[in-house]
Amino acid sequence: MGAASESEANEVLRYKALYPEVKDALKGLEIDMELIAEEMAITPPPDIWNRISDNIDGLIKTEPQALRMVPEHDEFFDFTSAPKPAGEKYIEVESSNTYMRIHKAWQWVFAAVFVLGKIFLGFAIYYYLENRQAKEQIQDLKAQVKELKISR
Amino acid sequence: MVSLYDRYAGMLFGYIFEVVKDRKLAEEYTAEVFTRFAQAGDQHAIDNVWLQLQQAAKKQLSGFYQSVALCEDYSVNYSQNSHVSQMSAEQRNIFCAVYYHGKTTAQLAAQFNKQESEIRKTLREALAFIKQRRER
Repeated sequence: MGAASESEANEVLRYKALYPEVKDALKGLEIDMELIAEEMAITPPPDIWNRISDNIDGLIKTEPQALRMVPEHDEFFDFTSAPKPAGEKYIEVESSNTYMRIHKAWQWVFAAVFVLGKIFLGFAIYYYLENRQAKEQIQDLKAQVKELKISR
Repeated sequence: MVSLYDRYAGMLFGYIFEVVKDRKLAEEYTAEVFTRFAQAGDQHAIDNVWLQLQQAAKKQLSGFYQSVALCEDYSVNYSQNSHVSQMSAEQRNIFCAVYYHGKTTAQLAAQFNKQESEIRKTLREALAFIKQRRER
């Protein structure tokens, strides 16, 4: 936890292997740490599990070979090495996940496109009916003109 | 993995939230740590899962530690955490720096210009304080 130097920690691990009392005390300390964390737990929002599940599904799909889920040396779980700078931690992986995530701001764009689509559809129907009515009127007028010519 | 999530998600989320103080960011880090944990598969032992998750979170947060100030303003920010908010200011600073920001007692001794034994004593007092409150 930071209370012991590296040499002290190594010494404790040596004693742990030698003396069951030390092993028991360390186990008790682990339990204490877990209980402290339990006391300070905060219920996470329910959608986090979906995110994790999606991530795991994406990882499984991108690593089908021999069902091996772990690289030979994963520095993330190698607690013996010093942490690397943030820029070196990530490996570019092209996901084959069929789902796409977009920013929430796009919902307004989609809503605007939908509303504009409806407005244009309304105009199209209106002008189509207007056009049809105008054509009918022209046909009527032509017929009237014809009748007038014949009657003369 | 679901059972591990049910058991440890709240603890991990609570831990990360106390470090980053931002729910969205804490959610991102929590999802990332669990994903990495699942990715590591059977690499980790089953008898101290919480400590492994906590170590993994500390590694994941190492970049964050370097980019923010440490625990100076924690006395006002700990209103949600009843254990920490009721510690003395010194206990709170030492506990916060060690537990949430991965500082060693040697580093804190140098930072506060104190003997390392004093820092350890304060840390022990802070842990004992939490334990006493829990046992009440």
